[in-house]
Amino acid sequence: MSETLGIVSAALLLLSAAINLVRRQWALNVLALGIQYICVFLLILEVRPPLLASIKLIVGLMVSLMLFMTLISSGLIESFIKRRRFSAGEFFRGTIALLLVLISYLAGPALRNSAFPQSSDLLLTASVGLILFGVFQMGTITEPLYLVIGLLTFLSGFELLYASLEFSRVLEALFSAVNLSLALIGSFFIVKDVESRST
Amino acid sequence: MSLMTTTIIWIFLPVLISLLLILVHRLHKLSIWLACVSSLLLALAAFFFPQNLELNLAGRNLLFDDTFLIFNRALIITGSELKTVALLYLFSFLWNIAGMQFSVSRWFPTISLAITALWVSTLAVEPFLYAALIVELIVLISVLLLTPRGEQTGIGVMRYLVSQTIALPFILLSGWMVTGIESAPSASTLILRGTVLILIGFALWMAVFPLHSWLPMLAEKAHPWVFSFVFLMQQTSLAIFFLKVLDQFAWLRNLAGVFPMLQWAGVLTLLAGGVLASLQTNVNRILAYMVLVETGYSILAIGLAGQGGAEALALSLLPRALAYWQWSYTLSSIQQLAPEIDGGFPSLRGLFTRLPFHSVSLIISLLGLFGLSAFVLFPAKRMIWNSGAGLTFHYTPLLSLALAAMALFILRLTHTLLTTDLSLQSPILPDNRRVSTWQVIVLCLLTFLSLLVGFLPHVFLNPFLGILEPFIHLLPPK
Repeated sequence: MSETLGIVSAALLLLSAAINLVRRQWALNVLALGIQYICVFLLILEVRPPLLASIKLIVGLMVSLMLFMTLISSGLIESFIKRRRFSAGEFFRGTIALLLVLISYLAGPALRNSAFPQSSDLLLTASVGLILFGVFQMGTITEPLYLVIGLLTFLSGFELLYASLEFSRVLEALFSAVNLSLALIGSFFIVKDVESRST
Repeated sequence: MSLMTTTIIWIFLPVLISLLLILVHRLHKLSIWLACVSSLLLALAAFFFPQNLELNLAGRNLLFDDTFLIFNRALIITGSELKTVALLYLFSFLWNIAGMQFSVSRWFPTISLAITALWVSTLAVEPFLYAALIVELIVLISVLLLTPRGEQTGIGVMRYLVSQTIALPFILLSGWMVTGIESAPSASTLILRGTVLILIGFALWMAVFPLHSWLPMLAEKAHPWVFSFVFLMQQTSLAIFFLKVLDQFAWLRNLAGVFPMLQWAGVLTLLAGGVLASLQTNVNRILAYMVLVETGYSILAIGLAGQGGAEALALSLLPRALAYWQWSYTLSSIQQLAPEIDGGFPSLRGLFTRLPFHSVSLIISLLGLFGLSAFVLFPAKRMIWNSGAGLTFHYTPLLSLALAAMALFILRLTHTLLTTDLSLQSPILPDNRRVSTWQVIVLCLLTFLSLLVGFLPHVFLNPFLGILEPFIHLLPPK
């Protein structure tokens, strides 16, 4: 994988995570999640052959599709094009997102020197960024969809980091099962909330 | 690859049965009976299976293998680990057999059996770090049971999910670091990092104080029957898993300060549980604080492993299950008989005049968990108190404070149950919600059993000391 493609993927990855943190527009969030998984795939190509890296891509896209279908069937999705003014909360989260990107940019090389010498700076920056975005999203939001997106973001950040450390087929299968189960739980939460609101 | 392995019997077979139960989940009674029968058979088989795994069946000698290989990774259930397996399937049986009385999810039999099989696989998987992902799967499955029907997803469930998911990287990374430590035993930085990661991971998993905030929130919303099952399994399996980790890694158990740190974490957790319980005015949340107190006792017992704590832990597993069973059975019955009781103290006022057997049972189960002499948990708790006091006097005042706080709550609850508000006439239960003779028998039997086990611990509990047999490095045979 060329260095430029890696940098573009990492930048796009962090941008998607930032969109999920900042913007509250469900269709856009699920799309950003899908893009996030594509970028994870491109970054993982650095340490895995394409065939094995595509497992994460397929699982990620399935997860995004599952959430999207649930939102559609619950009638909760709104158009991508729908324009909404930025709220004060979104400005705040936007500032936090910039701070998180900065922290991950600085933490990547430092982590490489101290703990993970076999991982590249770019991979560490991207994975730390995703973990931080995930933690922040999980800690600040109680809406099921965003919580699940936060969990998935956190996990993909960790998977990215772990992919550079170790490979095992069993581990890969278990990670896929966890991601798919998490998407199922997310769909379950969304449907439950819709049902409880309608009764 | 041989099909005659312990793993196939106690992991794959129950998973297969739970998958089959999905097909009959609408036939609630049938699925409960199938789950009960399979859990009981698996428990009995594990309890009586020969330790050398050589079974003599109708004159034929069948030798079972303890290892199942999958992509160069292994699932191993040795003969000495079968006691633990028996205990876990016994819990599954106990919770399924009475579960049919309560309006828990119709998926309970299926999921409870799957959860049990997955906890067994957690204890069986090698290398141990893979257990982190299996625990995550268990949490995800448990969430389906813990979310109450017809209500929005509670914040407690979400925090539970978040807390358990955050634990995953800590355990996985510690596992990865372990490889480095094993090849370079003198690498002190790696040892320290690995230890910190493992301890943080376990603290998150076990909801050690102050990482327990989601526990009462979850208990308040979830059905007490489901809550007690999920957390009994989690508490028991993680305690044994932690013993296994300590047994397996010499660098961890030989690191100065690990055991005192565990002791302090245990004491502070049970102190927090006791004090917070004493301030409660809602019985639904009490089970969460009892779980916290028992987690504290478990960690303290592991911290005192060299001073008899491990034996106390093994002796406490079945009694604790009985106490949880009694508390959640009684509370679930009360909620079913009188749905207007929301768990708050005002709604429980004067309950003794309406439901005397249930009121007494609530108090007795709490006294059991408290560790009152002659009750079910007394032998194990006495060992822990004595071991703690024998080691240092620092723990004694804190343990006393925790016990005093728990006693205060029991007295407050007793007062509430016995005191009738004269200005309010206590409602009479309608005919269709009268206490059945069967329920009275169960409650009396539980109380009797609690006393019997307390009086004769060597008869009922000594066989469970066998749970400690696999930990030959941590607890060398004398």
